[in-house]
Amino acid sequence: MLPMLSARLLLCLVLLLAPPAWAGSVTLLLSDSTGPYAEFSSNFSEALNSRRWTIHLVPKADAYTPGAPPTDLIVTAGSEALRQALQRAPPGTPILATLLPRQAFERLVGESARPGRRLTGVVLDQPPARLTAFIRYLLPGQTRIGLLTSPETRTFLSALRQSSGNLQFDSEDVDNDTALLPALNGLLPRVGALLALPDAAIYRRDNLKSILITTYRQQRPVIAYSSAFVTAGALAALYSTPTQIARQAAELIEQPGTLPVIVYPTQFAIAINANVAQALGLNVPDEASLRRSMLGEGGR
Amino acid sequence: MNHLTLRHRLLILTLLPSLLIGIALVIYFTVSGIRSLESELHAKGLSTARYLAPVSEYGIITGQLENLHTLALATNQEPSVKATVIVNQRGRALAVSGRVSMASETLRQKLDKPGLVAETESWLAYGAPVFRSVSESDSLFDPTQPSDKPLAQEVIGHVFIELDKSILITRQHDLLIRGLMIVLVGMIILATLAIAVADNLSRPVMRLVNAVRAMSEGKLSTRVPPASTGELGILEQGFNEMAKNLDEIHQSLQTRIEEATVQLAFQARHDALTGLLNRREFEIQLEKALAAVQAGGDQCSVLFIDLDRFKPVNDNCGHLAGDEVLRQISQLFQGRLRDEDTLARLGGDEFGVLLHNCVGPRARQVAEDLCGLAGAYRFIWQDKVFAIGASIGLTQVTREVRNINELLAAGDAACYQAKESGRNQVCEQAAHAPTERRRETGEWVTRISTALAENRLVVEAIPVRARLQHVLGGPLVELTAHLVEPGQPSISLSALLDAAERYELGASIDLRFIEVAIAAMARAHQSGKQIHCLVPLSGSALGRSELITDIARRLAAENISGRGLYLMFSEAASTHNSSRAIDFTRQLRNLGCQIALSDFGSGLSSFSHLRSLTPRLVKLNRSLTRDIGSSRSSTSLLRAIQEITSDLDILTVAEGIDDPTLLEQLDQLGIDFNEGRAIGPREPLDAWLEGVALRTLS
Repeated sequence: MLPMLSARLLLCLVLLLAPPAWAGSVTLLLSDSTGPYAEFSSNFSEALNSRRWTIHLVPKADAYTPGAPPTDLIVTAGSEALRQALQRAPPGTPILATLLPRQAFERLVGESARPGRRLTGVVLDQPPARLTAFIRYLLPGQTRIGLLTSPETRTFLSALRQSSGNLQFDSEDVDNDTALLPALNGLLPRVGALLALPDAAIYRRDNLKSILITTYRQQRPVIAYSSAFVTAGALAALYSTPTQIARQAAELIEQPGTLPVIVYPTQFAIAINANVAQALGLNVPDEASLRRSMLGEGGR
Repeated sequence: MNHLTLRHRLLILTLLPSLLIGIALVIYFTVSGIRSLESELHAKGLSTARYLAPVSEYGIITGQLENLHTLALATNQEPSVKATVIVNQRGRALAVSGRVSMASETLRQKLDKPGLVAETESWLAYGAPVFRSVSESDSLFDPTQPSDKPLAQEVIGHVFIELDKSILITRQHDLLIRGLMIVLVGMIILATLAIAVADNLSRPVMRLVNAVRAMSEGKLSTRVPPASTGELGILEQGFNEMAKNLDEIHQSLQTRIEEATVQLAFQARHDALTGLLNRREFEIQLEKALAAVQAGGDQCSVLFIDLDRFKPVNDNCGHLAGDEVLRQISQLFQGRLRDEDTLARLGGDEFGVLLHNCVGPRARQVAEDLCGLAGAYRFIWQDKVFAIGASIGLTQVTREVRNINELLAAGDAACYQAKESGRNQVCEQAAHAPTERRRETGEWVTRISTALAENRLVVEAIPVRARLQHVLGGPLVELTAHLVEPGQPSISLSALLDAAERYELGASIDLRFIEVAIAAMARAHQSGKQIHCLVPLSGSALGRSELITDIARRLAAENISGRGLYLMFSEAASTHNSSRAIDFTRQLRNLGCQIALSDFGSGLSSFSHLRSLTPRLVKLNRSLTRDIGSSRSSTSLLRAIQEITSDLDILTVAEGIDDPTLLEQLDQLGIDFNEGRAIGPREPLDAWLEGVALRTLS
């Protein structure tokens, strides 16, 4: 159902979302005023041409009151900001959602069920091609990569497999918590590394450690989607920072033209946990050379 | 505590606190040691549980029981850990190692942090919750759980461990025993030192104590060796000095006591006033003498001397004079007696003499000599002269005498007899003869009063012979009396007066005489006759005004003049009360009565009385007339007196003339009147009166 909805929305947005080439007012709605959102806010304001755009900042999403002042575009940062915007914003006002996983974006859009709204999401998820390139450069010897998928992320697997090259993706379905570790234990022996996709149904703060310990026990590196995951014990992560996303969002606003419903980040960052690499006996390239290799390939 | 010796006290003082402190320290260190061990154990239990909990997390989450079992076994390897249990969220045991003592309820409880869950004597149980660990994650990817809100930690199970306390208990015992051993060793060392110190201190003190004890038991020569220094040394030195002083004082006190004892012994045996033996000692001497005689020793005699006319000295000049009399008399007697004779003062004016190896006439002679000495003795006090006599009772100490009471009774009776017989003489009585004891005071008072009331006082007339007829114009008679009592020998006037004067009964006898005399005079007057009555009055009569009043009243009642009434005082009595005597005689003369002096010539002041009292008549002392005829000196003395009295127109009377041959001599000397057995016997006054009347009528 979700893919169907996405397709329809995509169509609508392509038709309807015509970014104004002229000056206008932007309402920036933040889920929260701290951490990554603050980083996003400041970089966004910086990147957007202030002579042409006025930015009305709403630092707390639940304090948002629609229509005051009238705005041409709503930019949301974070899942909560999007939720509020979807609920309260006037239907005619286009929304640019940023700084949220694709899974969350799709769920929120599905929940709001307002056809006709112009809405584009700049998601945190990395494009599949970039991911496979990253894996190849990071672990050149590994061809079998395992994934844990929930129903919400299963669609991404096919996209991934399309750009896999010589990589073979093996997956185990995880429908509930109790199935997680058995599934993991079942998957890991079959694969050379675990690729973690952003999936709130699988990777959570309270089971991250168990997952990491399990992978460690089985001497399998984890390729993750955030620097925090790397800090917790994953081998490496491919991700985009709020700054990068903010610049990308500003660029999107400035550029006239239609936008797809989901926009992957154009810029990315790489994090590697050297300790983990050492513990697992892996000789991985450093972040800079990795990035060069990836950019050299032209995989943007 | 009070009955302990110094040594014990010192030992207690030193050892008890040390022992208490030692034990307290041992207990303290044992307890604190155990505490630290306990806290160590506690910390260990807590830390073990705390470590075990997170380690078990993964096993619990993954359900890897082998893994958990390995962990439990590893934990059990830890010293003191006796059991390990890992349970899941619902309290079901996932892994067990060792012997579990905890109850299943304990295993099921929910903990929020590591802690002690159960404790018994022998083990401790700690438990810790196993939390699901939470990692840092990117909040962007975890929109449902905001990163700023801490996630409630999920408890996924528990670990429990049991620690064995037996090691702890063993350690506790070890600590205690080791501590007590140290205390014991310390106490032994301390006790050795304390005993040494206590001995060092208590030994000199004990020496002092023993010395004090010996002192208190009377061993005054006790001394302490001055071996100590410091305060004890001063104490020892001080004790020795004190003991020395005490000893000296005791010695001098002993001397004084001995001296006093000697003095007391002397005083017990002697009379303080005269220095003679006293009655008690005299009786002891008598006992000895009696015993000696009964044992066949030499016989001896006893004299009992009672001074005559001693009382007036005491009455008139006081006791000082009386004492002086007694002293002088005792010296007088002592001078006459041999050294082996015993002179004692038996009390008052009584003396006793024990004449050793002296009986019969010789004893009698000694008694007579003493009597003579006493009779011739004159006591002069200020301007007064007293004649003292002695009535002496003599008794022989023979084998027939059974005890000294017989001797005393006999001597007393003899003395009494001498006094009865007119004083200043010696009477003898055998000790075993029945005796009449001297009457006592109360008896005398009733006897005299009764005699006067019942008219038992028989007044008699002593006939008087006049040298020249009609010198007075009527016959002169001297009144005398004796006491007649049924079943008793009669008592002479001198004895009666003596007693009467002693007990102040003289006045009643005087009044009786005056009554009788005036009655006789009145009776003669009725017959046309005039008689002259010489009435003896007691010494106490002088100065008694009621006597004057009585005489005046009686004379007036009979309507006669007092010219024939010659009131006679003893010279001695008038000497002692001279001023009163002068006044009294003047009053009597105003009544027309005449004054007479008896015993004239016995004192040195006799002649001065002739002027002051101006008597009409004097009765010469018996001693003046006794030796007349045989002694020239007596005769010339008598003549001189006669010359003086005739010059003053004073009549003279010589008494006790028993020998008719003396009468002529007396007549030649010019003595006006004579009386005695040579003149005529005593007869009742009435009979004499009738006789005079008859004679005159015929």
